[in-house]
Amino acid sequence: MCDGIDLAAINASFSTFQTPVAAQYAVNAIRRGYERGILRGSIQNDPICARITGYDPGNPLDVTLRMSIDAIAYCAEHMPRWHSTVVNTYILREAGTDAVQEMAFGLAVAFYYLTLARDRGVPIDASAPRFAIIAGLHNDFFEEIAKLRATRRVWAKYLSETLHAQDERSKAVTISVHTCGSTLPAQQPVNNITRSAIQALAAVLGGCRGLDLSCYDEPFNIPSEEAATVALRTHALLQHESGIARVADPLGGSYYVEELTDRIEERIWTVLGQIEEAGGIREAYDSGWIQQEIDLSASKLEDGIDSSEIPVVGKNCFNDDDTIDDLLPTGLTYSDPNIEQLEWLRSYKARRDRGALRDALQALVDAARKREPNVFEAMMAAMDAGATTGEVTGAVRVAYGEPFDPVGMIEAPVELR
Amino acid sequence: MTGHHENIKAVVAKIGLDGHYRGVKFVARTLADQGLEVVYLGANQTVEDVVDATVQEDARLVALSFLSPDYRQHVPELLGALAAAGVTDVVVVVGGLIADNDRPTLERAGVRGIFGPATTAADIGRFLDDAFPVVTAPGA
Repeated sequence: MCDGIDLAAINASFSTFQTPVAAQYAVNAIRRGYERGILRGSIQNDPICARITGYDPGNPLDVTLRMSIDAIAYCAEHMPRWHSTVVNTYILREAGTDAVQEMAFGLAVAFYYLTLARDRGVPIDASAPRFAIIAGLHNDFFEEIAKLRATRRVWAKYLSETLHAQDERSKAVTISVHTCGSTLPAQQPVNNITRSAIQALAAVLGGCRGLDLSCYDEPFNIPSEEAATVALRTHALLQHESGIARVADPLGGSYYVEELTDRIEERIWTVLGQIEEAGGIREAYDSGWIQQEIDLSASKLEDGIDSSEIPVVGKNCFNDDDTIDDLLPTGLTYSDPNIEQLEWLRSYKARRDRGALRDALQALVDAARKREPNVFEAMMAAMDAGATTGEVTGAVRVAYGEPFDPVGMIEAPVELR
Repeated sequence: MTGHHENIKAVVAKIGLDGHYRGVKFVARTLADQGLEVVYLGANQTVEDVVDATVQEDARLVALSFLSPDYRQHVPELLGALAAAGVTDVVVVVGGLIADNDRPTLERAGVRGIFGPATTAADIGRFLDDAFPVVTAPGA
């Protein structure tokens, strides 16, 4: 995937929860002669939000948390320019949380990872500067701006007062924004271009450090080339034509935005307090409380749209002209399975040195059985011996007493004890 | 105004690895609001899970949500497994992201309703009225 690309010149963002992907990237970079310390980029490495939103049903949290926290420890020591963790509050929002829950749940998750890493011997000032958040951006313009501003305040206070960070970089969290696909209805999809542009404007005014837009065909499809290009051009005209990126925090001092920021901050602290009372984020998730809160908020929003109390232009109001529905092509087709890739993977697996693969995967199982060794390092060694991301996860699962494959379709490539 | 459908059980599920559960929860809630008794299995179910639940609960409606092309495999499998289990009178519907060119195949295979991303609660209500007419006693 990275053939012909100078890895020293790029920032590679992996929009995946699979922690081993970061190990695989590092292994390939080292093979190509790069120092691991210069690698820039990010991986989501956020098993709790993945689990809450249904992205990772097969792996128990003990397994994924071990890989995640060890990745944080490894990156803090050896890959200091790499963002080891990007907490994904975007998917919490898309699952149905409101703005306050989105950030409160996400912050509780981030603080939990930082605490686990600290307990594993990683100083806060070694891990926190390489944490980031990817947030959603929903319809309520000023509430969303206030949400981003309040999140940075809560982060700074918690890092400073509770986790005792000293480094200023630990206290300033980077927030990227992905505009919420769930706000884009299937009715009159041309309006989604305008919607995403307004949301992106809020993201910039709220101080996002990275931004991408959901596309007008989001309700139907993986973005078409045309829809993705329109989203990129919207981004470009905000950045280059409008001049809004010229100054940081342009709404700072506005009586309305400051007041709203105060209120949202207070509400985020309240929810953080509720999570603490529930015994922490892990317990709040395990008990079903988080899921229940998400479902209640989702229902409230859906009921509001259904009763037209919450206006959605083209869907529950201004919906008398359906010619606008067909202004843009939005049909859905699926591509056929990529047989070539499957064949490549088969031949890749067949070419491996089975002895070396067995030794490295067994060493990973042995490392994961003990608390001390860093499994991220053992994962890298296994991948250097040819193991895939799925196989290293399988090996860690075996160490935790789980079957190699959660759905029982794949055998381990070598016998693991 | 759509009718109220009591004494009808619906099995609501997602089959396969696709975890996007928000839509299927909306459907489950909408069916419950219309008076149906909903057996919500949630995401990551197998064809066998859905067949077992349908038989055990004597469900008259099976509603499946897919935000991936996995329906191409799982829906024909399910219809075959239901027939093999002797279930012939159940209404099977699918929703989510179903490609236009797959619709005829699904309909020919026996899927009674296909619901895309523009579906509203009212659309679901109209479908239920048609599939499960509410019998009103004469003179009532």
